[in-house]
Amino acid sequence: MATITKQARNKIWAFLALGTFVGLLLLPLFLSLPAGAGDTPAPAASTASAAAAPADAKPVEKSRDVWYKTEGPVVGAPAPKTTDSAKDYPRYNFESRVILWVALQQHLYYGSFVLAVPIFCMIVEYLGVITKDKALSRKYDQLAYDFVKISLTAYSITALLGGIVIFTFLTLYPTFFGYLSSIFRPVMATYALLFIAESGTLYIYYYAWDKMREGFLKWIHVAMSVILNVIGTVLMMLANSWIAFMQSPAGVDADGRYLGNVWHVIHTTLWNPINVHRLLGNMAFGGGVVAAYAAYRFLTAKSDEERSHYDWMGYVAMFIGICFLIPLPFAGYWLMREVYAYRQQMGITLMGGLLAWLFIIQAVMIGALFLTANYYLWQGMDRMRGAERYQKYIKYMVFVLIMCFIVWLTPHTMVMTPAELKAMGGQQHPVLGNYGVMSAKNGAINTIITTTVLSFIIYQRANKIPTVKWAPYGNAFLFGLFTMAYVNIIWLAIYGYYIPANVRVGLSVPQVASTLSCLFIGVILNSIMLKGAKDVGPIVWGQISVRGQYALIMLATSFTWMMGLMGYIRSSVRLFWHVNEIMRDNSPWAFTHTIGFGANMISFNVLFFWLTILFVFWLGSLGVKKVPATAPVGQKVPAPAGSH
Amino acid sequence: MFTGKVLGGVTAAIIFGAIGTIFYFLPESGAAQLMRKAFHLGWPGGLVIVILMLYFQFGRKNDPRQGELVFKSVIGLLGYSMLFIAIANYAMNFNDESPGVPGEPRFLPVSLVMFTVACFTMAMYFKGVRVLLQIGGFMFFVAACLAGFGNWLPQVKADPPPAEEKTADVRQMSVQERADLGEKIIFGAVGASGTQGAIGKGQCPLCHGFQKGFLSERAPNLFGIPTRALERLKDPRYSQADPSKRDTVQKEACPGCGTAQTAAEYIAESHACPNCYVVAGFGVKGSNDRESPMPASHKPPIALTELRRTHRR
Amino acid sequence: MVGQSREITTGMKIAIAVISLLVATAYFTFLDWGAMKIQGLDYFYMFRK
Repeated sequence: MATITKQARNKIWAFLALGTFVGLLLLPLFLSLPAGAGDTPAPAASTASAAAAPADAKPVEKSRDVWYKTEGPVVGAPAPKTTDSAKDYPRYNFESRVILWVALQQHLYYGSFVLAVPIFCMIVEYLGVITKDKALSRKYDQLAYDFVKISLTAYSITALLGGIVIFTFLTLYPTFFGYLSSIFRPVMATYALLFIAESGTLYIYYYAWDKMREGFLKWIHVAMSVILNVIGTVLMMLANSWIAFMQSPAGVDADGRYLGNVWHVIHTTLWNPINVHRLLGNMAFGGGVVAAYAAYRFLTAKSDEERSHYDWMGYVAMFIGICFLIPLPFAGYWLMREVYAYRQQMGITLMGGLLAWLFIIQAVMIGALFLTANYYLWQGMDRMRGAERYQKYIKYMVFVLIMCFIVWLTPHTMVMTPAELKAMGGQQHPVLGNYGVMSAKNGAINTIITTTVLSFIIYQRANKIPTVKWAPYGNAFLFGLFTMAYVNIIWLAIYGYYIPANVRVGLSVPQVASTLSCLFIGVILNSIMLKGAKDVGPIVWGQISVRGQYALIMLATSFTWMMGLMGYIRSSVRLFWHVNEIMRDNSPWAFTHTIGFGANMISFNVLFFWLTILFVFWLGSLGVKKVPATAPVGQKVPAPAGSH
Repeated sequence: MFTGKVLGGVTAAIIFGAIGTIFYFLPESGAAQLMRKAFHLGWPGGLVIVILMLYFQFGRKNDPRQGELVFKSVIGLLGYSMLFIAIANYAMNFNDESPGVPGEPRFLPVSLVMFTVACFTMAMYFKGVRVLLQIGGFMFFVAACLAGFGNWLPQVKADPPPAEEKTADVRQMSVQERADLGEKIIFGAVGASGTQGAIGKGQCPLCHGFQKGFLSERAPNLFGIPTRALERLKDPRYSQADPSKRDTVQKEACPGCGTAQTAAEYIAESHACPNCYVVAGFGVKGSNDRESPMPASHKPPIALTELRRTHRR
Repeated sequence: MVGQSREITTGMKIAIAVISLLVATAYFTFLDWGAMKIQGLDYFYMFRK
């Protein structure tokens, strides 16, 4: 009896808590409503920045939005014109920009991590709830719990770093900070509120894990993870609005005067592409970090049981990470298109001008990431008997990957000295220039991704023999699909050389569609075909080479490095502007650093992050001495997300 | 004969010999400076390790693991020295942005390689933290490769354009001087107009070709513009008689400016108001040639100053 | 790949492979055409010219 009432009470509390969270979640929306969520300019009196408006009853001056071209009442002060003085740019014997760079980058790494891990947690917990198999369900649940535990320490570090960022910003760039905060005041208030809501949800989510283990309460717990992630994502989007504003300002006039419409300030043209790109990037990054954690635990494991658990965990994390890595280039492509649409100049600075070499580094890294992912899958085939049937194909795949990799990283145009320009007879090399154009590059990266899909399909069926009646036809179809996909991608790449540019740019869409066809049709068909397939041998988790684990660490390090690099590119494309074309950077550090300096700083940030996160892992391992309930070695443990 | 002790002794002798040689013969060389700096930064920790080593050597005569402990201290000291030489390298070369010409290499990634070596060396002897050191070493290695690659590429440091430019009054200039100034603004140097890809502060050649047959996909080729401008003026879409009839997002360069009457005015108008007339096919995609992708030359991002715009209004 | 299919002869295997290649070709051609169409572009630009 007592247990029932207790459970009922739990239920009521859970509902109350859930209601509170939903309310907290909606609160900022209500708060921002009077500030004008629509296109109509808000009445100045109701916004928080009303205080800034002149008090006397002079007719309100009107001005034009730099981006939306709408008229609006001038509410804010113009962007301050800074001078190189202690008032605007205080000196502390060091390059202020570099200090801020380190602080922001560390905050961003931790922020991404604590945003990504709860999403994993949500997915894995949900998998645990819907899985019928009791043992497996417990395993998933434990994994989700492990995830959130790691993120808890990281969460407090994120908050701490956030404080450091604000402090650094305020100290080193007081005028600029003042201007930004005068525009984003309502957004910052919302941000603070949401942050509190996020903390509350996270802590309750974590500490209520055991209490809400069974039945309906478990579902509420899962719902809570959804809310947690919604809040987290909104938080990220608000933070993105600041950087998007700095890059492609809107909602202000040409002098930088705020026009009273907060939605325009948030919803600048690059905001949504950045949102999508960052969300995907965070997930890939989070996958990398968790995979590295699992690799670390695998390598230090004392027993087979532990090894098997952490091998599995590394695989799951890597799998989720790669799932989000595959759409990432497409999101990047969208962002780039929007950049070109916003200011062609900015696009050219990025892709063909001053920052083009950074994109070469990025291209090298993307290629290396896919190579590593493939390598890990091939190493993972060690876990299965029967995989030797496919070993002989790997060398061809390596060949294809390397060739594409080389094409992929051939630059198009680049910064050159006049002598070099003359020696090459133009901006483009007569032969290699042909591989530098988008047509060839799109072909190469799509071939790389298709090959990765092929690796995955081979991995899926490494230890299985399909028994369905139509297996020969299925195999033939898969063969036809992949062959023709390769042919089609390469044909489109060649075709692109013979047609004018405006038609050519359209070719990337069918290319991507071919790759995605392989991904979806191939993987789904393969999974259906493997239903009830004969096992040659079970997956022996833990039976993977040490090299495979280092591949995971390589993936994680590269993700981190790439994130630092892309962030640097995104930020430095503003060149000598604080807010693009609105507020000029007049500090002594307005110049653009050399690539080498950037690369050194990124390396420093990456290594600093990993040193601290290893400490976090170590803290996390203090609590647990025992490995959670694991399937004995050799027992069948399905891989995530419907593979196998 | 070649016992571990002998080998270790020989190695130590070689290392100390090399250091001694550097300090004796090349006291002002980079390596000597680096070691001095490293010693300056890291001597307290090093002292602790040396004391530990001496303690193991003389204070633990009866400990069966005495030899091992002393040896580990030596290895630790070695790793520690490398760590601080690497840190010293960072500290000394941090602001080095030299272009990487021969004889002036950019040294920072070397630090990362040293970290890597130190980590892996230590990992060989310190079993307890072996995995951690190996992972760390591996990460340092990956970072070193990437940073090394970044430093190997051509290095360009871009200074911001000066906020205010002082140029002589164009109205006082001869025709030749004006033409030279224009060439400098557009192509970066006098005489550069014939080179594909030459570009100056005005950045026009990013999109426009200036010679017959030059690549000019993004914007019209400007070769022969003085004569073609007159044809443009007659285009009905230009609407020379009445700017308000223009089907463009901006109808006039400034309120009441009207339209151009001469080729020079047409070119001037195109600079100040690219939207006033868009050559068919070169408008912003989807705008049906009502809007030009070109920025006005006197506004950011190009922002030529008043004197820099050599045309007359 | 087609190891356990006892009743399928070599000739049939070739036939199946050819058919599946044809099917895939048709599919990708359609995909190319359709993907260009939705962008308002003409996939067969070069051949119509």
